Amino acid sequence: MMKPNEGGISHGGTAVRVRWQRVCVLMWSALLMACTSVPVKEFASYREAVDKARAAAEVVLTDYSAALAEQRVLMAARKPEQPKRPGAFDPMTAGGDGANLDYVAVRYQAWAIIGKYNDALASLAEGRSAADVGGAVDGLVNSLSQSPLAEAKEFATALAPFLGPLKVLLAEADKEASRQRFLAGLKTGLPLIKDDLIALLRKDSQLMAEVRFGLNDLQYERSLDRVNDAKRRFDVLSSNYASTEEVRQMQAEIAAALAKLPRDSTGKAAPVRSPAKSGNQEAVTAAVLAELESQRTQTLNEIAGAMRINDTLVAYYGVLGAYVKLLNKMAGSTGQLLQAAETGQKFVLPSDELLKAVIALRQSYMTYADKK
Amino acid sequence: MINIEQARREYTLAKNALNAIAHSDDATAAQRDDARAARDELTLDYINTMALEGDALTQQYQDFITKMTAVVDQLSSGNTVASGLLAVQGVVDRANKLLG
Repeated sequence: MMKPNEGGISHGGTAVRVRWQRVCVLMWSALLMACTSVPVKEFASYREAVDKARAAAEVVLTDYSAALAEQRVLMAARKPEQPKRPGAFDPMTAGGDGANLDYVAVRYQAWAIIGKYNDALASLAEGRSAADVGGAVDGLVNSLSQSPLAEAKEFATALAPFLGPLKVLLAEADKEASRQRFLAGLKTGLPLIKDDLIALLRKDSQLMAEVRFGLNDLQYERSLDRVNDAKRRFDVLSSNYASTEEVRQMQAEIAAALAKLPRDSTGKAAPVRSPAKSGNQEAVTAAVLAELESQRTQTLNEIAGAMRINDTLVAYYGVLGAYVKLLNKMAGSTGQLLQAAETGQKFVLPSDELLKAVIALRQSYMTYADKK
Repeated sequence: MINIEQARREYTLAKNALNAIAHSDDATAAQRDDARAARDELTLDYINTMALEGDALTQQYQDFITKMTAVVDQLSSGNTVASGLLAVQGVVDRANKLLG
């Protein structure tokens, strides 16, 4: 039986203590039943994939901004267009602000907002520290104990023996609330990343490829013009003289080099003029031979130049291919994280595949940088 | 969005037609030059079309940013147990001042 004024608490305080004991037991039971599991590994894997994809995107965007600068210079140099009658009115284009938005800046902002989203999620997954929650409890009890109201002071006094377990319970409740918000945040944000952003990034890569192709094709076709002009000079000169073994050798070298020129995307061979036929019997002099050798060398140099221009484009496509593979990794881990959040399913996550994709991108970019 | 494969095919066919003149021995030098110039203009149009398609996507990126910003704001602003306790403490402190 409790003695009066034990510990300075009145008989009414005993009832308060018992009530608090029951409250603690109930809260602890409720927490144990409701404890939410956070997909920690899936979240870590997703964050790593996003960070790697973002770094790759910045490299690709930096290169593409140079392509856009090149495009603007070319457009500025064009002859002014004949004015045209307006085409079909598109309210989406006319009403949007697309033309005034900076292409590269907006895409950087998109990646930045994902970074903020991931940071907010990480903060929720970790939850508040027990010290933070304990500090808040202490602060409230302290304020209650300083109240001029006797009931408030008594309440603070009755709470005192239970502060330890109460802080533990409230810290756990705080973490549980954070975990719930973390999962809700995953279900709200991840579909936007998986369905909206990654689709945009893939479309972007396709359009970047076409702009780079166009810029490359402009150079490539002009280089083929030079190939044809050099070959024409060689052919015209050689057709004025009888065919000799040396001339036939030079013609064979040029033909072999031309055969290596890439076909276009429809499979058509590079547009190069046919070899000239020699109808003349005039003997080739040393001077003519020297001139033919010079023309042959120039032709071969122009062909090599055309091949280098093509190689640059092939290398760029390699960079974009590696970049899209990283985007696919990001899409995969985003989908897995979302599924883990929705169903509690756990995933076995291969750790080296992302690293391989990053290495592949670096290697392809080094090849491209070497060639451009 | 335009069909890129189709646009590429049409561009290649038109370019090949111009190249047939640009590299033809039957064409005069002036005709070859005109065909080359027309081919370059065709390529510049192609580049421009693709760049404009990219510009059109920029507005969609902006829409994505707006939606994600709302999600981040919601994540950052929710109440926690600790923030709830601090809020109650604030009320008690104000009451103490009024009554004290």
